[in-house]
Amino acid sequence: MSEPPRDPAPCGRLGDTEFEHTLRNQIAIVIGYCDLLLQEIRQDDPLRRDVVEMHKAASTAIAMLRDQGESV
Amino acid sequence: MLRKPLLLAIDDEPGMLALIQRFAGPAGFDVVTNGSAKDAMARLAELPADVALVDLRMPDIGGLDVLRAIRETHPQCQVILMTAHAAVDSAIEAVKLGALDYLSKPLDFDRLKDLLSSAREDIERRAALLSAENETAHRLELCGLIGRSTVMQELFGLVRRIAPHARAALVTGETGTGKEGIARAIHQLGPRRQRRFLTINCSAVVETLFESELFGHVRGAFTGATEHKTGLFEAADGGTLFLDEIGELPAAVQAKLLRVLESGEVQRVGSLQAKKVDVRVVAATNRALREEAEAGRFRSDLYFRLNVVELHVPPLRERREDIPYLVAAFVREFAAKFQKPVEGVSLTAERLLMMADWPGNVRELKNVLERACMLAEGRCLTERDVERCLPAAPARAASAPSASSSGTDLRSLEREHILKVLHEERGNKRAAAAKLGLSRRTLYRRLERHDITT
Repeated sequence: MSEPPRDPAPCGRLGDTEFEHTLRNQIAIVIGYCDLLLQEIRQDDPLRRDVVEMHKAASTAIAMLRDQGESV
Repeated sequence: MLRKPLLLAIDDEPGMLALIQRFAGPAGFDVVTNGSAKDAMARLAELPADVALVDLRMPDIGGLDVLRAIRETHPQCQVILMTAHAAVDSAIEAVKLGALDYLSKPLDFDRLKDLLSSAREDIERRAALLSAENETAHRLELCGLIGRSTVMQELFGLVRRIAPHARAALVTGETGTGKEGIARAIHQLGPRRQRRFLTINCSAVVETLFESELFGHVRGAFTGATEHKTGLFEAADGGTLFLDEIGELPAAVQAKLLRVLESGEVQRVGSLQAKKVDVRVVAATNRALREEAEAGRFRSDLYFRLNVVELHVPPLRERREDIPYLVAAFVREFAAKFQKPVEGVSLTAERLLMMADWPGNVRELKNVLERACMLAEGRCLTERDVERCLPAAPARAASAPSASSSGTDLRSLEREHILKVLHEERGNKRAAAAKLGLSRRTLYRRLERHDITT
């Protein structure tokens, strides 16, 4: 799969399953790397909090996508 | 296990592949990734993957189709499917097709880690078992004969005990059980191992030539005897003579054989001079020779003379526990012979082989595996590979030759017909000969003429 579509009106495209699928995959990759980093960064490392925040945001995004998908 | 297990990851999303590589590499796997399902499928045969991680939804080919293909080519490869949209239908379908698990994205690395390490343990256990089996197998072998079952171990023990002493022995057992192998073992383990081991199949010799074959003849002894000829007894002097199918020996020859065994002297046909020979005689038969003797069809004095020791080789169906070891040995042998990467059989294929009837015993099993290895494409013989090589149902066997025989000459027609009847009689030559209206001896000559090995 090439680059995700850069359409300026993403809400209008959310019904498109192909678009949604790609978006989900991209966010899953972000979460995957966050998971790996969290396993490797020591508990007392200050960078850890940043990764936790990234993980949280990406997880929220994927949850929103899921809700959106169910309502379509 | 020396090499790392190989993980094959297939996903159309390059970022996902990179992520999997980043995770599985440190987990002890060699990782091969492929962004195109189509391309991956084309290369499956050359990729000895142990575990495959496959995306369910890809633009060219769906993950379920990839799963099917892997189950086909690498039955021992564990397949894990992953998807961004978990759906009950495809999950059920995947499990039905034999997937190890079904993961949703974002991947749960703890779960994936568990799956990968259990798959890894499985691979290592199997490899360890195989090498341990090889060692044990060698210890339990007798001159290349495989038999771990109690019946065979008892037989091997008997062979080891009698081999240094017995002057004569009778090996009994159904066709294909390996009677000649036992005879060779007796020879190998005895004091004559450096000398010759000669074989004669008593049912394959024309009656009138028997004496000459066994005892030799001098020039001019009969029409056509233009040269002196050494008989098998003289040739095997100091060694072992194996008389296969002794039950087929004509009555007149039985008497002469008995005399040779009793006197230790042979006389060439047409000669008055007797010559001392020292030959150990091992005879084999698939007939109930004692009953034949009681019924007067076989000389009872010869029977008792040969039957100093009787070694009974059990049919394969009475020692099914040996089948996995025999299978492993034959697969190794034929994989090397045909230069195929076949390493073993799948669990279901093994079950099939364990359950078969094997009227032709070890020889039949060996033939089936030879064919299966010849036709095999993967590293592992599947149920289907084995099934197509097992004897076909009689109905199918009967219709096949007539379809292929149109427009062929009489000679190949005869060959086909003999093969067909042999097949129907499950390799029993006596029954096949009766059905063909031939004497057993004639059938043997036809088999030889048509180059049919059974």
